Amino acid sequence: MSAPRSSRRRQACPASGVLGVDLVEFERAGEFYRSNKNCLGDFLSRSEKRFVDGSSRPHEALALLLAAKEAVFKALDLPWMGTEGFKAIRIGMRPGALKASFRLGAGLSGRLDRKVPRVLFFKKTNRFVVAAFAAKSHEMETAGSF
Amino acid sequence: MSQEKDEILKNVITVISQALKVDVSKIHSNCSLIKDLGAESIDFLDIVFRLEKVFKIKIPKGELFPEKLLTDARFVKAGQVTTEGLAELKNRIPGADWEAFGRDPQVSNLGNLFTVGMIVEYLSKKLATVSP
Repeated sequence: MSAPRSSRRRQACPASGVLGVDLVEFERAGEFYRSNKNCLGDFLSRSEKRFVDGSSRPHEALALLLAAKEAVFKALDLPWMGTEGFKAIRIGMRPGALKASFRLGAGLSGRLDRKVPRVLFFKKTNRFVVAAFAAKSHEMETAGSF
Repeated sequence: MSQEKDEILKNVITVISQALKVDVSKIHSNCSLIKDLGAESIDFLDIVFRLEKVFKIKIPKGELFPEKLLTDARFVKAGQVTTEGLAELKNRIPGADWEAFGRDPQVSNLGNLFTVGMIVEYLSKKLATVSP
C-alpha cells in the first residue's frame, strides 16, 4: 500500500541528519501479540494500546508501532533501552487516519535539535510494515497511512 | 558453573530458542543476542516477558537494560559512555564484558553486551534474592 498524497504540506527529508529504518513482519508481530497481549501496557502508552486493541488487525497495528519506535531508536543511535525506553517514544495514531505523530519522553528529547523538521514514514505490504524516521531535530511532520 | 546456574542457562537457552526460532545447539553463553542471534527489539521484548513467566519474576524497569542511565548527561556525552557511566553500568550489570566495551565505549555498542551469559548472571543474582 503506498502512502497517499497528503493535502497537507509535506516536509522534505533533511539533506543531512539522522535516519532510522525498521521492518516488522506481521507473522512475528502476531506471535508476539498472542503470547504477550497482557503485557502491552509495559511498553505502550495508553493511547497506543487503545490503537492496537481497537484495530481489526491488532498484530498489524502492533507491528506498525514497534517498527516506528525502533526506527526512532535507530535514528537516535541508541541501543535497545528496555520497555521504558520504548514507552518514552510515543506514536500517535488513529485507525484509518493519515497521520502519525510522535513525542519523545524525558531524557530523549534533548537528543534532537528543536529547529529542524523530522519525518516519520511507513509503508505496509501484505507481510510486513516498514517505518522510517528522518530527522535533524524536534519538529514533527508525517506522511503515510495505515 | 554451579548446578543452579547450569539450570538457569538451560532455561534461558530454551526461552531464546523459542523467541528467536534458533536451534538450541546454536545458542551458548557467549552468544550476543544481536550480533550472533539476530535479535531485534520485538525479540528483546518477547524474551523479557518469557523470562518473567518461566522464572516467575518481574524484571523491574532499568534493571536488566539501563535505559535511564543512557539519558543521563553524567554518564553519556557525545554518544560515548563516560568513565562515570562505565562504573555505573558495571555496578548495574556486572555480568557483561566491560573490558571489551571499554575499548570503544560508544553507546551504540551497548547492544553487543547483551549476551546469553549476561542474562544468566542477572537471573542468577535475581533468583538468589527472591525468597522461596
